[in-house]
Amino acid sequence: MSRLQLAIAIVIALAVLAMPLLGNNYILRLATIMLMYATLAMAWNFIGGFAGYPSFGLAAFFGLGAYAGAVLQSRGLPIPLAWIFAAIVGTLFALLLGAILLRLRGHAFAIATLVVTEVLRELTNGWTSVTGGGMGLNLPFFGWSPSALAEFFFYAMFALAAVTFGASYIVAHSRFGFGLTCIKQNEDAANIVGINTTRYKIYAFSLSGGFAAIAGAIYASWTGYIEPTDVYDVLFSIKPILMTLLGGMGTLFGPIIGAVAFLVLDELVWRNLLELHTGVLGLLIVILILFLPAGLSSFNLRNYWRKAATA
Amino acid sequence: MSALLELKNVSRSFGGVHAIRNVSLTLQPGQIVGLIGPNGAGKSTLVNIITGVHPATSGMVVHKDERIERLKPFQISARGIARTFQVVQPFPSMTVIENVMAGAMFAANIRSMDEARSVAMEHLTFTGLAAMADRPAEQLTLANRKRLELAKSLAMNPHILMLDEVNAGLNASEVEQALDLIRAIAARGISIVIIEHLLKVVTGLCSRIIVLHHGELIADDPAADVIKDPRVIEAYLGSKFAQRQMVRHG
Repeated sequence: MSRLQLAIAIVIALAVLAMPLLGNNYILRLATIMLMYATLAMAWNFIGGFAGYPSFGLAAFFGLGAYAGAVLQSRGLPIPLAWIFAAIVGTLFALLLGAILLRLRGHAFAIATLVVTEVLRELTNGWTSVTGGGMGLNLPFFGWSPSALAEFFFYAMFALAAVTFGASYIVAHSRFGFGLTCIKQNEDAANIVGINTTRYKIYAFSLSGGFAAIAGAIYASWTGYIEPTDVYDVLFSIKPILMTLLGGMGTLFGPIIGAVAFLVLDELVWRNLLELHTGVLGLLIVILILFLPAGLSSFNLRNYWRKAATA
Repeated sequence: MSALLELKNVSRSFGGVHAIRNVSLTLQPGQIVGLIGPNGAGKSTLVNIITGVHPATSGMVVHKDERIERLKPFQISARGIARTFQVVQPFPSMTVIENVMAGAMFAANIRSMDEARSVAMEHLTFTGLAAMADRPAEQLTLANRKRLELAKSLAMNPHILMLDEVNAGLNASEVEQALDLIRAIAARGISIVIIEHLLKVVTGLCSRIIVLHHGELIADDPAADVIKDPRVIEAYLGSKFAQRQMVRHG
């Protein structure tokens, strides 16, 4: 990260932190959602972006985290404990699952991860005594004012996004991150140069699962009510992939830029074209990815002008 | 002198195909050994067995008194056994120097990125790629990609280096340069196994030649003897030619 990038990142972070001062709950809600999706996109980026393994199972960890946190909270445990528990459950589940699924490559891996979400949803549906099954699960009410709640969860999501970014930064600049890039580029060669590819992939998958699970737990506390179809929604798997693709796979800022760009587009299109909303949004994303295959973070105005000038 | 690497009755089959049958051989420190045989003789399979890519179906591989036939490729490379691939295996969008750094950072276990970079640069200078250090590996010509494979393998700090057809696809002058490079590597005291199907290349370089045919070891002798061995001639040129050679030489 150059000094200029760092300065820009700090200014943006400060501006985001000051958002509650606007006193506009709609904007705050939107910002909280953006931070949540930025976290999910960064979480996906560990396994999908750095290691190049297209996981379609992020919703499994999001949902698992949501339920792990919600069940604890509904039994009267304090919020921080519930969130930490969700992180541990998500990470351990990813470790176990990774040890099995990461023997697969490419399409087989993608399909296998897709199925995991469905399995967890059915298990959650069936385990009525703990999860409430299809009726869903109510979380304890805080008794705070709406704006106090909005601010609290905004800061919680901000902290989570910041920690996830910190973890991405450390990974990107470490031997571990270098190894993941090697795996993405050529897994057999990575093994031959001495990388324990299986272990590296499992660690990346666990980071991905752990962060997605905390995001799920915070989401559960925030909305106050969860049900299996809501938190195990396949869109929690798909959207983070799309956002990372839009922003730049395997980059540091790509997932954040992608999440913000996607949600801004989503909101604008939805407001102006209510009926054609998803169609137009899809079209816009296809066009963006066609013209900027390496993502929005690869866009360089200077290069663009140079090209335009010489064309 | 104890053997650096020893194969005992090693076999490997793929389904019903016996790619390697009951091969035993030893490698002494500092040797340059040629491994030859017609196409499909099992040369690459033998290298894959030693490096753990395709583990042996039966038999033992002993390296410095340790059995390694069940180890994974990354564990074997950490023990100082490196190889290049017949079909080059770069990390395509990473830069040339990053490719070499990978070998230094993992197999040679250099923890600091800066140190790995300077080690990588030394190997790039040695292989003549220093000027291309910051280019993506995919932009290199075939000859340079082969050198990159060499530099990457050297960065792994091996004491055994197996070169799987490093000369395939190169023109005559490129082959000469590659051979000079191999001699320079051997001069550092690294044991080298050269896999080739061209006899000419190995006879000039190796004191000892191992010949594989249909997965079996048919000769393991000094270079001068191997090229006169009727079994080797038969394997390469067919039985008719071998008989004619026998008659002529008495």
